[in-house]
Amino acid sequence: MEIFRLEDKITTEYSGHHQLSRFYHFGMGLPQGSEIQLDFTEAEWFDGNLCALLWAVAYVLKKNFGHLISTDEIEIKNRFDILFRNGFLRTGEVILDNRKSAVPIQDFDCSDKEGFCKYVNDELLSHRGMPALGKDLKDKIMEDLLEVFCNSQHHAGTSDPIFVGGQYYPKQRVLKFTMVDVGDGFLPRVNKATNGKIGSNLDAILWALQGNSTKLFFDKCPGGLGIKNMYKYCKENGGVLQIISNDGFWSSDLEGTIFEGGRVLKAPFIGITINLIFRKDL
Amino acid sequence: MKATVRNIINSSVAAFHSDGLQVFAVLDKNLKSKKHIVLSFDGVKHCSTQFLNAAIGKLYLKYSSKTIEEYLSYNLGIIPHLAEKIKEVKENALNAAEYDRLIERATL
Repeated sequence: MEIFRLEDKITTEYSGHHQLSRFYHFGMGLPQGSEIQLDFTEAEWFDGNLCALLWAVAYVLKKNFGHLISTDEIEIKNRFDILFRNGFLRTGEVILDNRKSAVPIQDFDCSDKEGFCKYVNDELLSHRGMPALGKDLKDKIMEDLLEVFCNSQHHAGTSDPIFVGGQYYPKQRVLKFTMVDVGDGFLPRVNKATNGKIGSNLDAILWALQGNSTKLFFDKCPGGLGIKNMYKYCKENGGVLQIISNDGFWSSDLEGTIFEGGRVLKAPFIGITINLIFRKDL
Repeated sequence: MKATVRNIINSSVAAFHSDGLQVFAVLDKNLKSKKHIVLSFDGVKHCSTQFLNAAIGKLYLKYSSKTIEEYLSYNLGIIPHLAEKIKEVKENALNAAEYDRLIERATL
């Protein structure tokens, strides 16, 4: 049995992603079919929404390497019960989300657009941690998230599921929502569509954020408006958008800092992760 | 003639590129034969721009705005902001067509 230790705080920022992608690389370095224990004893905090990413990492490690991942249930029940309350871990007993802070962790078949819409409507947009949104704004967020879901389905180059989940933090009055696909990421398509002009994951993210699209090149069809609209919503409503694609980590709250333009993850995961941070008080 | 999105894609969520292409095929056939068509969104609850780009935007890469507006009209159903979105998709498609022409000219 191999042990991977999570340390300190696993939060929705560069360091949290760094730890979870390190876990992926740890698993990649092991012989096929290894057993890995994910050890939380050194961890102080785990953002519940990042269970979507942890699930995606575990899924890929199992699918591609046949690894079996386990964890210490009692430790987690005592210190990180959110991982049970959001449905990421399950036991025979029913564990209620009595704090009503979790947005359930789920995976969606990439063709299950109806299921995804129902989830966004029932579990996210109706959550007590969301800002008081008018019907118009709710509709807009629904359409933008659907757009991101469609993009994942269309561009990822995989039929693997899409992992989602969220968490409301009442003290900070923010709700963090995470969506993960385990496909090719932005770069391969953007690199081709730009004749090699865009050569890094970070530049590919920035290219997509500007409203550019690879659709015209690959599908002879106009594209765009998806991720750009989400960015616009975040800017206008004090939210934060983070996009992580392979080794590129970009976050709207890094604008105006030395990391404006993004950071490079030393041990990247695959696919695209999108984190959205909504502020309850607009 | 009337074409109902829900019936063509067999879903109340018009979302994927592939959904849009199914609708595009119906519209394309009608525009080719210069028959007027009403595209109905009755029964559709959600609609993405990815769908609209493939169903309607793609038409603007093939036909002139004048032809499309002459032979295609809409029943927008209950989807909020749909008229606005179709307008946005049209503008985006016209820019894309122009972009495509520029690239073609530049690479001749």
